[in-house]
Amino acid sequence: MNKKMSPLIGVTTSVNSRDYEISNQSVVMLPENYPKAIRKAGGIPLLISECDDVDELLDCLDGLVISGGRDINPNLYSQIPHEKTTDFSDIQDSWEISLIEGAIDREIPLLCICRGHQLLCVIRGGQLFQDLPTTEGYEKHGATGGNWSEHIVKLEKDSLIFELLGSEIMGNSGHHQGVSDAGDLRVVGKTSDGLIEAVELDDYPFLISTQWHPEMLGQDSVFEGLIQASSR
Amino acid sequence: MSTGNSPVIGITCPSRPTKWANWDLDAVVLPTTYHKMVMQCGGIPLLIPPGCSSEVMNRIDGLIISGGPDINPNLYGQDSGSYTNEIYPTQDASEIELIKSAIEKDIPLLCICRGFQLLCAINGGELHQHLPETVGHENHGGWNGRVTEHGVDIIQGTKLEEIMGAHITANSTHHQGVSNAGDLLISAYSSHDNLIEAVEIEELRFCIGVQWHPERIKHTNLYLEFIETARGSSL
Repeated sequence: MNKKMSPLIGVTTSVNSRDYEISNQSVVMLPENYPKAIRKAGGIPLLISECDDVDELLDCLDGLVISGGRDINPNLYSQIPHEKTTDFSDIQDSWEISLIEGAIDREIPLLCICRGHQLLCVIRGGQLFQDLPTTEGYEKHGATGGNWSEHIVKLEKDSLIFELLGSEIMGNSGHHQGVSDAGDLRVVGKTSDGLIEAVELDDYPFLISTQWHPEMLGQDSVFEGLIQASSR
Repeated sequence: MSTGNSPVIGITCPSRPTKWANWDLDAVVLPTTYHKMVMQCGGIPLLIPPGCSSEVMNRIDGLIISGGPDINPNLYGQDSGSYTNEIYPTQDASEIELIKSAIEKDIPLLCICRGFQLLCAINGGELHQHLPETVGHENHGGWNGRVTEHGVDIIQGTKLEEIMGAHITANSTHHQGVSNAGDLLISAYSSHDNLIEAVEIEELRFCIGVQWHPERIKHTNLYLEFIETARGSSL
């Protein structure tokens, strides 16, 4: 790639059914703060949606963000769905699994957020809590009446996320599921109640995975790190 | 740009205040019909959010300006009428930059609905701001979520006629329309009320704007020709 060109960063989107232009239309959606954070850090954000040929897509991209979204199918981590686990999409799950696995094979810089963080952990052999508000010891996570909670996340030294954000941050929480087991990933961030909030993959060029939403909290350094790694 | 044989097609999209689940944020929203049609016709779709600079044109082989909100009437020298109330200047500005770049570099360009209106406005054209109150076009078609159909007569000798033939049935779900196509070649009018329905720039490899939504009614020929021309860019 020409050094002068800004890197292309693909961001996953979710398909939902909405009354948009015409009633009950199938649309792709993504909060605009993702592309804004990428652009501010010097990258070109392009949104990607469910497709069959992941390899062709990855050929076009210099970096990848797996964004937040719906719950994943609990069958993927050998559990049956909890009553609060609804609206999952097997098509989106399998598409994003192919994307993450393809990106890791190619060593493409990767940022996994919220749903993306949970899916990465599951792919690497991990497990999820399906509903934190009803899980003993984790009741304080998530949103109540539309208001998101906040909590301190302590970050491990000798990690990429520590280099970018320091020893602790205030994370936000609008999620009702969480990672209980990170598989073969290294846990590099936890809340005081012990929820796994950040993981990394050893010996990988650039992989950040967070339960919280750095794009909503002005954590520019996370995106600057991604863009720098994707520019090589 | 793709390293394989499939052309990379950029598709612009709007961003608007949006609520879902426990979210209430500005969100990019685009019907899936565009990228599905591009994939079906052999392209790799990448969605371009508002605010993107023309630097992206170095990395794509074809550009679609999609349908969406009304454009700012200042762009064609008018003040906003009472039905033109949701204006998105960031999207207007970045799409104008992308259209100009596509024309300058002769990158295949397909402009749909809002995209068609914007293409006309920046080439010296003008819009009717609200067809249901425009004399002669009161019954043009559905809007505000209602979809109707009408005939479209395509002018002989145009590229559009070469692709689609002399007469088609189009869908209609828009409340604004093009009153003057400026420097562009008009290639089609609606059969029932003579509204400008399509334009093109003959000198370019592929530069077509249409008022209707070909991706919703399987007007596959138009997308196939667009993507085949874009494939030429990727060689």
